[in-house]
Amino acid sequence: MLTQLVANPGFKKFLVRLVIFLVVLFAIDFVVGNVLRKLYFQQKSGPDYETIYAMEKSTEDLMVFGSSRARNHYHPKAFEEALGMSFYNAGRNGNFILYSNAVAQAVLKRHQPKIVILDIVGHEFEYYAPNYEKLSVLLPFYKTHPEIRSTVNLRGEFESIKLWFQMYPFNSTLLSIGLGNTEFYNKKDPIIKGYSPINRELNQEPVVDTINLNYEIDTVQVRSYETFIQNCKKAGVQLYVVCSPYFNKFPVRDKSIVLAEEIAHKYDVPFWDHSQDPAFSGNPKNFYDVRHLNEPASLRFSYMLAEKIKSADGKLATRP
Amino acid sequence: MLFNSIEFVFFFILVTSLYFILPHKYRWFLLLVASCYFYMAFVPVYILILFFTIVIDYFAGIWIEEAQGKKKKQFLVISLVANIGVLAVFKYYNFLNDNLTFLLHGAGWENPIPYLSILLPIGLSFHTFQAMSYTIEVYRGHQKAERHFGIYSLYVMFYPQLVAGPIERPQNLLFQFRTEHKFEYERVVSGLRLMLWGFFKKLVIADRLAIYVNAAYGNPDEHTGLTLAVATMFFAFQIYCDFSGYSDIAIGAARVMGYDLMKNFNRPYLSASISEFWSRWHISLSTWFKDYLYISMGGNRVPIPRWYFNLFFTFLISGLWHGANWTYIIWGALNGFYLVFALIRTRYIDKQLEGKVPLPVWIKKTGNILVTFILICFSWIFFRAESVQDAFMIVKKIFTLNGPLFTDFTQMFYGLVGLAILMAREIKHEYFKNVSPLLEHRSPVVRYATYMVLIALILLIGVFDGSQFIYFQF
Repeated sequence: MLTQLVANPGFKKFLVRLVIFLVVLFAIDFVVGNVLRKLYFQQKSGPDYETIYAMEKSTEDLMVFGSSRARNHYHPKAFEEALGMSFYNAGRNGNFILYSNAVAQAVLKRHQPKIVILDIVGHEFEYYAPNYEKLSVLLPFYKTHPEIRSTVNLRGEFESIKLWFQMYPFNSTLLSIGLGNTEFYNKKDPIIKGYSPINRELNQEPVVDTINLNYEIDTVQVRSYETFIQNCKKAGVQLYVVCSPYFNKFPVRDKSIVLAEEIAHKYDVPFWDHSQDPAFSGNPKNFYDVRHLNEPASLRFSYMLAEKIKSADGKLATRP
Repeated sequence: MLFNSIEFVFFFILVTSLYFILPHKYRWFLLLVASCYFYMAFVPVYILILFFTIVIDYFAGIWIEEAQGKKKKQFLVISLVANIGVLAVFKYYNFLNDNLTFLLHGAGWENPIPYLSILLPIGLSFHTFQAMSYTIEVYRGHQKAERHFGIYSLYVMFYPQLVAGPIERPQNLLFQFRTEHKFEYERVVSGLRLMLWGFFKKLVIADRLAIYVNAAYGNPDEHTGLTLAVATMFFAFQIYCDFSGYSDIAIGAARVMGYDLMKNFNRPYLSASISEFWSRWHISLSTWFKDYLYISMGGNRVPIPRWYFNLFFTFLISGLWHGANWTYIIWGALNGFYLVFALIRTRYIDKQLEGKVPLPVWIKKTGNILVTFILICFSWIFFRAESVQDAFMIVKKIFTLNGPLFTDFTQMFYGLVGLAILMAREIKHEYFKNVSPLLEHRSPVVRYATYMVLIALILLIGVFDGSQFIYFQF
């Protein structure tokens, strides 16, 4: 049957055209992929630019890692003034510990900051599939940063096969690459050393947060958190794990925060839980929305934290 | 196994290669094993449900053919009860129990009947309907009973259309398993081309629009009427591209191996009336209901009120087929109402207006297409909403249209790029039939360039989160 198939003129024609098709496809993919790579890494502004800066260019003494709450809560002015250190905020919207751990690995490979602050959120270790999908922001770095590959591969078992295509790492980035090569993002929302100021006061009273408290803990994300701590310790970096303020009240302490604190203590890492800090929480004047401090409050929070770092000198501490 | 997964790419290449290498007499076995593997990639144990209905319907088919008089009908009833019974247990049991609980609570009683903790087997409604069409056709004498158990099993389990159709008829599919299919260049390329278009619709359009739709429909109370209106319109295209994308991949994969599956979609959003829409949307299901339910009830060869009832009832059941939820029932009822209203309008109103509103044909047609689209979008609200309460809240918000539009610029931009390509192709196929389509263009340069552009767009703006096809849940 195989001989019949090979002798079939239609099959021969198909094979020849398939080979030509694949050669042309991979050639086009190679060219377009590399053009996009060049354009991606020469961006001047925007979220991708900030990740590139954090991973490949940052040389600051103090770096902050985390999600949008890190990005909006840690003001460079306060840390630079109070601690006399250079500062960069590597937080990224919608990305959590898996992303922070990968970026920190890239940073620590070439530069050791004196201090690292990791901002932990409530539900940080909850299993949530989009947390893995969002790791796509690291795909452009897969080729040049072997240290992040294990994290990117968490997206799915066939990720390395998809990466045979040079265009694939730039999936969903066309628009941001285009805008990032202009001053669009700088004009839209001025970013100060990775920190993103947001200005508005909330117009509501705090409530008891009824969000599901009995969620499933994702051991992969817990391991990633532990790796983050171990890598900082190995590099001799003074690490502080912080949970910054929330507007609403928690009926009980969130189990991710409890777990994060236990693990931090296991490694003698200071863990400061300000999630329910009465100096900020519950006051609508301090918040942009229920999860994010506005700029004036973030500045006060950052000064308070900087002073605490100054006086703590690496000692273990917990809630205020 | 999902079509939009890397596993499927390897599976398809392996199965298709083996298919053409193997002698014809072994191919049914290869396809059956492959189909079992394909199905078991979801929840392996549910293959036992398929096996149960296959065994019942296989023997029922033979007994129906051999029996005479009343016995014939009895065997058909056994087959139908078994199939509907499986559906009732796995799909509708908890829904019925829920409603019973609600009624009993109203009377102050507790419901003593326990709930079943089961997952709905993937594609259950599709393969039970395909199985039922077999015994009905044997009963009607349109199809001979299949004596080869393996080939009959393959009729129910043929992997390209196992979990989301098209719902085939035995007259169209069974004989194809006995026909030897040689490797034909044109057929293979045309199948692959259709698969490429299907992947584009699913990954670039459906899954991209889904991001906006899910954000709005996931929290309708937090979104404005304008946002919900845009999300509803996006959902109309999401579900179309999701389902027709699946059908294209299924039909294309079967075509590569030499099998012809029925067309399932025919540019439905260019329909100028609701009845035209239903002749272009999910054709294999619409014709199933028409052939086996609507016509069995008397169709339109009955007094007018009964005719209207037949039509309405068929759509009500079609709604229930889609899911065990009141939202689907309302969706079906709404479409049934549209059709009955259209009949009444044609009969009593249009005749009186004939010639009184002199509008150019193209304006009338465009207007009708727009009105049909809006009506269909309105019904999609009930189809997509998480609950009836949510659906009514969304309707209320849409009719007030106050507040700004939630603008997820990136998602909207990529989604609209995909939609523009879709619409260009659909309009070309509908109204410019003489223009050679890019994907099937006579010039190989244009054709190949189109393949490349589609693949590049899939890689660059497709969504690779491995999301399921919407119709799998039915």
